[in-house]
Amino acid sequence: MLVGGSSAIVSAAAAEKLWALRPVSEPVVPSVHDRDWVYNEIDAFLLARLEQAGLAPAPDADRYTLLRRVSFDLTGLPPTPDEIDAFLNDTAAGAYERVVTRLLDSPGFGDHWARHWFDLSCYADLADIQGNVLIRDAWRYRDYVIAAFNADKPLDRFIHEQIAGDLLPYQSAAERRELIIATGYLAIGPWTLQNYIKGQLDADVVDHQIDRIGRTFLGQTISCARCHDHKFDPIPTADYYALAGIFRSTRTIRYDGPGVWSAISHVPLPAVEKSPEETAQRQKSIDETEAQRRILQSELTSLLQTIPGATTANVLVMQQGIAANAKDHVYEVKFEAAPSVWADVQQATTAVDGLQIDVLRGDGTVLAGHQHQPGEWAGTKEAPLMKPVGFSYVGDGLGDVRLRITSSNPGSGRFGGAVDDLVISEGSVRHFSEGFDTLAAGAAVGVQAGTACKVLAGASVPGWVGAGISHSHAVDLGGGDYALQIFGGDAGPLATVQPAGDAEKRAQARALSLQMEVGAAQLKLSALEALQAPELALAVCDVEVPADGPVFKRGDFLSPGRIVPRGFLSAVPVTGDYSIAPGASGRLELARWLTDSAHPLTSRVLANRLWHHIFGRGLVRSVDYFGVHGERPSHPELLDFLALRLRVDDQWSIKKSVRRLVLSRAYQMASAPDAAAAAVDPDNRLFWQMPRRRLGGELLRDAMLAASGQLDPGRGGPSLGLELPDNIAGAGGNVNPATWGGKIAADVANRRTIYFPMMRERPQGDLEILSVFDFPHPNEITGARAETTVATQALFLMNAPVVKLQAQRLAERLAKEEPGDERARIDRLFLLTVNRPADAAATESAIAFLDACSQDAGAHPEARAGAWTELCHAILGSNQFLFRE
Amino acid sequence: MKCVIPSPVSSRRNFLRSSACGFGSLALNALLQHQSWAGPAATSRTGGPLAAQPPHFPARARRVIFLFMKGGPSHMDLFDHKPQLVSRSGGMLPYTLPSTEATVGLDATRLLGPVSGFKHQGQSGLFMSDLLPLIGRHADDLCLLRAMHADSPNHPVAVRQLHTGNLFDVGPSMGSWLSYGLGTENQQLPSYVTILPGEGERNFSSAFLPAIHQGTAIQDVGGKAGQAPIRHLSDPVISRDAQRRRLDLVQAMNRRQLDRLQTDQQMEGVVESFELAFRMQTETPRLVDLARESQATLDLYGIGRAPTDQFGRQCLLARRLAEAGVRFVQVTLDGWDHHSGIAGGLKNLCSQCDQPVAGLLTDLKSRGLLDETLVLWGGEFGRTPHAQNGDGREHNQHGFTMWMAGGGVKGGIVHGATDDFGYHAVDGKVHINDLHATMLHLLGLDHERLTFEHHGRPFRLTDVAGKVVRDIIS
Repeated sequence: MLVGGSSAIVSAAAAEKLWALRPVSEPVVPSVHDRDWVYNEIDAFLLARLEQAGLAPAPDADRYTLLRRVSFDLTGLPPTPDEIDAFLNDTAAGAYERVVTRLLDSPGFGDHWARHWFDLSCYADLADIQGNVLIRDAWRYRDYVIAAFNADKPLDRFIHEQIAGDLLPYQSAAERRELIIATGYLAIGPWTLQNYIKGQLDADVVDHQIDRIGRTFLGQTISCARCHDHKFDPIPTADYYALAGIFRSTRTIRYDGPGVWSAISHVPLPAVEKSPEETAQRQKSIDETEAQRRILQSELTSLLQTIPGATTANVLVMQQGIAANAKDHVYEVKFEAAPSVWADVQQATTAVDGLQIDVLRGDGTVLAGHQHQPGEWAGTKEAPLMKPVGFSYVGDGLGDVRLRITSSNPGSGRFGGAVDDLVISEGSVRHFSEGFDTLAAGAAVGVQAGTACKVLAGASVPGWVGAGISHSHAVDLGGGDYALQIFGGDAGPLATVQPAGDAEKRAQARALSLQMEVGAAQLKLSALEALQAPELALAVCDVEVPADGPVFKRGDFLSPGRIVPRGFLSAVPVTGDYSIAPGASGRLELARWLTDSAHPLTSRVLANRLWHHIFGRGLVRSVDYFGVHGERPSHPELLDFLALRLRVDDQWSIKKSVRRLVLSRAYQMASAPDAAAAAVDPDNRLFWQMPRRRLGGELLRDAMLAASGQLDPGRGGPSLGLELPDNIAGAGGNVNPATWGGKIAADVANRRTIYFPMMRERPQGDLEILSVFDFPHPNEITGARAETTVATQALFLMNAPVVKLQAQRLAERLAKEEPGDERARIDRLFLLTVNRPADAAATESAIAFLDACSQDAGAHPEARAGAWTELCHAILGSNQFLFRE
Repeated sequence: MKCVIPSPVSSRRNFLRSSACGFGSLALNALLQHQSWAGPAATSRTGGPLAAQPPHFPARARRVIFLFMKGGPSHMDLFDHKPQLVSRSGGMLPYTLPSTEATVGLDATRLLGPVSGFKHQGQSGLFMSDLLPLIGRHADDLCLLRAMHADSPNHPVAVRQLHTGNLFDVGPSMGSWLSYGLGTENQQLPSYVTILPGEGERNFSSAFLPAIHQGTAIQDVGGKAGQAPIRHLSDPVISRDAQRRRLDLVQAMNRRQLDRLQTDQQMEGVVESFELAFRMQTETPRLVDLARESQATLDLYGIGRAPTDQFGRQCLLARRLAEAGVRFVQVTLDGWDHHSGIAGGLKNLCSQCDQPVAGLLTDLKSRGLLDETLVLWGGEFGRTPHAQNGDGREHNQHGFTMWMAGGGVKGGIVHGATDDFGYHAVDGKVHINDLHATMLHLLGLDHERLTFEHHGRPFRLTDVAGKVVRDIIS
């Protein structure tokens, strides 16, 4: 292990060399020749360098450009036509300042800036590295972050709360809730919850937390020191394990067994008073659902009494001819519940994939079959997905049939191993596959009267409570008729095979469907009742006995070395004393150390991040890395100036710092060509013009919705739709993601992207645009997004149905708002999309385009409307829409 | 190789100009992935970012076809016969299970003998499973790596390690590294294509390498699904002419803006990307259209009949892409994760796999491509000698088999060995990093020199490890 004296010397030498570790010092604001150009000190710093290089800043941007720019940069949304109008007509002094104030005060500020934060903090509504465990409580942390930005919570407090909120004093239950929720920062991450080497999992979680804090606040790649002293930067392995001790003393995930799944740590939130309206509304829903359930149950009970063989028991027995293969008879195979049923969602692996159901003849050939779509069919005991699916087949009379259920993708889910062939054969129903003849604990249900035999169709996995189809049985109804029931858990029959046709069968079918409805009502009740349970937050807490931890030799948790005391980066000079109190994890001390008044990194790194988001690239362009091999600041004095303003003058207020940036003259420059400047400084490192930026995926989506008038201003709250049975949490607070599509709360669908549940795998559906346009992967720490240009983006803009839909909505909106003059309508189209009126050339080519389109479509009355959709579609793919200057 | 710092403008334009000449008759264009960067990190290369680059030293192979057997095929049932496992099947474990691993379905577990018979195959007499008889006929071309080992028994982590060399962080996939190191031999094609990868696109990611090196996913091979081979490849509603008209309007607007700005390479890139996308709409379907192949070729791969149809199509498309000059083609077959019922499960997967893979080897050979194409077959790990759930096997990263063929490796040999039960690799061990180092070596690249600067340090596919397995090189 290289933690000895020699490496400490190396580290000291490296620290000496690293500019970012030198104290932040108050620079002298330089004097410039063109003093009139300077609005604030930022301009002086920039202009001095430009003048040195013999360059001049670009002219001021026009008002349309400036308003579009500042609106996107502060709120992530384009200006509305009214806002454009107001700004253009506000000729009094301070018009721009008033716009900035309006934008900083709008809730959109928090919506947008929270997203910047999530780019760094790996937020998602799913846990696990494969992204297959929904976590229902993540949204609380998301809303906390948005609220913090909107309330302009000072950054130092923001850091303290997220790293150690649970350890801070509080005045009220509401404040305590907020402080607990804040630690979701540490609790949420791409943890490999299914890693069954738990020591490795723990070490990986700690590593990620160290990496996140290191890059986000310090611009340091501390993780490099997990296995060896950092090769370039002054971070010895001992520092890594000093920090690791803090996080090993913090509970982020827990493993209770059985099975392989760990869960993210949840902390119950202190209750806050519910409003009487809310309580009454909830009770009303419960009462209504209960009443509905009673009605259904009563109908079912009466119906069952009319069906021979169906006793008064509240278990439906379906009748069937055993052969189920009389020639030309129609048989119906119905599956009414999930075959993969786990007692605890944490035992569930990936979403059960597609299922192939076949009716096989005696010789193994397929008589009929049906393939389910992936995810159509999965669930947990608490929340089986009651999606009745099935198919019919016509018997051929060639002997017995058997029913085979296999996964169409056997590798992707536990189901593949959990269900073997089911057999329906003459006189009995027997287990077709050898080897799994023990039922899992807790899976038994009462055996019905007349049971002929028991069928086992589930793989019993020791340590799992129920797996696959847990049990089934046949019921002898007399007269050669048998009924087959296959149960998945105790949520009701999973499958029935029955002849279809006569009145009696129809009654049975009705009874069956009633039973499903009763089950569904029951589930809804459970869901509503679950909402009354104590609320949980994904949050960390200290372990019972916080302690120093060992160095892991070469990063291997199985090779512990010497114990190192918990602490922070040894090369960073600070003034305060942050020794860790006995019995404490050290998180609070870490949070305070980060914001120490002499800390050279935190304020520089964060001031640079603010600059990056406003000016499009950092003064240090490697925004997440301030180490020896990172980029040097283009304007070191300006960076120190901004760091000091942020920490001292602004008392860590983001809004004050952002305001200073956008009120600079530099920010109000045009993105204008300048061949001479480009020759001297092709990368625009001196900021001789405003960098142009392509809008990111979420900005494009939100801007399309805003233009088409579809954007829902709703904000906050759960986005998974917790009232939906699919989203009821299991014991760990996690939710089986099974069939993700369609499970967001309906009222979220047209909200800003930030209010969508964030996936860890490639976003699809409405959010596919994110993966196409450089949205960062939530498992990664991405301070500066890529802006790629690839043909797949063009294909998306040309052909994706979501873009077409917004174009159509936009055209409909325009027809309603400007029904008359088409030239005025074109103007409005431009105002709504590219936020400036159309110039003459654009208007004429648009008119020509409309004429060509509608001429092509002939006399069809819809032709002109279709042409307008085409025009809108074109604009949504134009550079003017895709970029902000 | 050091990362080359930007000055992309002129070379990129030249590249666009030159490739524009080739449009029309040629297939999927490199510009599918073409990009320009606002920030740093573009590369400056004569002939464009995907221009063929000279290797570090003479190469033995020019391209790779990676047959990824997702889920972890059972090596002791397919390639690594263990007499002790036969004789002691059903007996107590002669080893203890690792105490650090939570176990599922392993209570009172017993050894499980191989579920298939084995035969000596070819002149070299490689001892292989009966379940892969057609691949067995190519035994004299196969190099069995029987002592592979990896570091994680979890699918997502192990899959990532196999693809990127990384356990923890997101890193470029091996195909991206090859693309970065060597470019492609056909400027009209992406350098890295992955056929029906299923989920997990991050395993085909270029990560911090320029996005042009990212794997291009073919999501349909003309099977029953009938969807576009690439997402959003066609307009679902309007005609091509109407679409062109709309595109003309967009481009006219863009050009007016560009005239005003004089120059903006990022915006020009968008203009170009639209033109390319428009052409791709017709060119891509032609590329993946297997109808141009002879019936004999289709039969060779088992196309047109169950259970080989789909994987056969994937393998045939892989040959077409390889032949056309794509540097790295990946073909994925999922379903090897046999936790229970392994006898039936393995038989099923082998019946899908055997003929297409054998057909691919035959086809490559008959076209003279096998010598210069490295074929790599294997999964993210192997399986345990002991039973799980009575008749399945659990994951085992400690020892498993992969094989190579063609591309400068010796045929008909076995390299390395596991212990008497097939649990741990013991002799001639080949770690995933070693596999990567060897693959790069065969393609003429020194894995220690193929680096890219990121977060202030040079990154490589093999991180800080990797040894070339020289014994297997012919």
